[in-house]
Amino acid sequence: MEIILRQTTFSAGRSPIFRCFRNISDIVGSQTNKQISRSYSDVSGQPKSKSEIDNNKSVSGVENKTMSGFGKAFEKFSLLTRKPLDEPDIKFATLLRHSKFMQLGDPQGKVVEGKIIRVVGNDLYIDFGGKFECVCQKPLKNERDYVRGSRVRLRLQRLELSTKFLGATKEITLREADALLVGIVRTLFEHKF
Amino acid sequence: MEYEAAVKGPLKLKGTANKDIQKKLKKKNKEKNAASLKVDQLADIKESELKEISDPLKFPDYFGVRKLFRIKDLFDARIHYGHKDGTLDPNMKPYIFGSRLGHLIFDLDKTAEMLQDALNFTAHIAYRGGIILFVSHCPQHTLTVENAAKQAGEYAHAREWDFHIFTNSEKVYNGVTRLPDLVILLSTLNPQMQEHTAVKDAAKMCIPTIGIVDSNSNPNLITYPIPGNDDSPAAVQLYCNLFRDAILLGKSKKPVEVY
Repeated sequence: MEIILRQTTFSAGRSPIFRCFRNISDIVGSQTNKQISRSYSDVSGQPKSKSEIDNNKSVSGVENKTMSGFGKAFEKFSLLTRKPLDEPDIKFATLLRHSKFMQLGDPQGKVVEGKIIRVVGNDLYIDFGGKFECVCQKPLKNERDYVRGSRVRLRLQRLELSTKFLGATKEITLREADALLVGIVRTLFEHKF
Repeated sequence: MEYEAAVKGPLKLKGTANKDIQKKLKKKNKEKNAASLKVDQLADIKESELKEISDPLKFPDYFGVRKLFRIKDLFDARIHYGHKDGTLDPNMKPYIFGSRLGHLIFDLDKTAEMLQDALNFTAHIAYRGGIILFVSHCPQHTLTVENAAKQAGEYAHAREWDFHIFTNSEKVYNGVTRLPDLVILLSTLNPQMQEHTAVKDAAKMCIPTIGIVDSNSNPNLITYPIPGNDDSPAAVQLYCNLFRDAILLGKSKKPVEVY
């Protein structure tokens, strides 16, 4: 528990000066009040997994290293700057709701950016972030630009090519997406002569 | 007095004169403990080490396998993407979160739980010196799987499956063979979209299996199924990394051989 003392001094014509003491130990000295510093160090510790607790030899818990001055200040401020998003595991439902996949909606006709991951002869295998990659023919215009690693623009048709054939109960997948190649993604600083 | 000492423990007598008696009592207690366990090897091990030995099976996550991944890592590796509604195997329905315009999505909360169980099992098998075989028939992922097995110091079979490898191993290899203690399937389907022979054969030979089951696969014969995407290279890379890390974690702790 943190004990906060405030001293406000009002003097004629001047703004109030606040003095905040986070712990009595700041005033008195870190060595005398060990109990307060121990509770503080408990707060700073990360949640331990059960296996860690079980494997610990000492059951007494946190070992107290009484810090003062810079060490104490560093500990205090490292807690404050720790980002809250890094610690808790984000829920899957939240991740899904805010994903690009949901934002896309019906893939038919949507323009996305992809990256060429493989070139086999005249075929380009392009990965746009979906489950499967799509395969497109290398265009005759600007042939040299279409290499492994180049970013391209696609117009999606289907995220997965799977259809039911006559008489079948289940569909058959090609494990491939379907998209039309629009062109290379060109940035402002690229000049083509 | 000796009987009392055995029951209550060594006497804590004040004064230096009684230290000899205390030492004698401690020695007797040691001998009794060693005898009661009926193992000759324990006589060499120090008393402090005896305290460290605890049964790893008693802990839910002895190797800290849950720390290897977070749900965000699974999400970024596209593990939640399933096939379409039309290819859904009815046995996979409990693991599906829902379908978005015909595309199925896996419930990563359930996947994470099952993945943790599988990784924990892998680590335990590796800890006890078991042989682990990575199996995959997708030609796209052959290199990923074989590299992971190499790094883990285990085995991989990422090519076409020979039908009698498990069931008739003595004839195939011309000698007594030791079959793997665990089979990890990175994809339970072969390129013909039929169930991989290893699933059935491992079940026949009583070998436990871990398998990544996609929405078009049947998880019934697999011991530790992991519902998730098995087609994207990013997903397969993540699985390979996780299994490799779990195996290395298991091998990093040296087991004490107590027979």
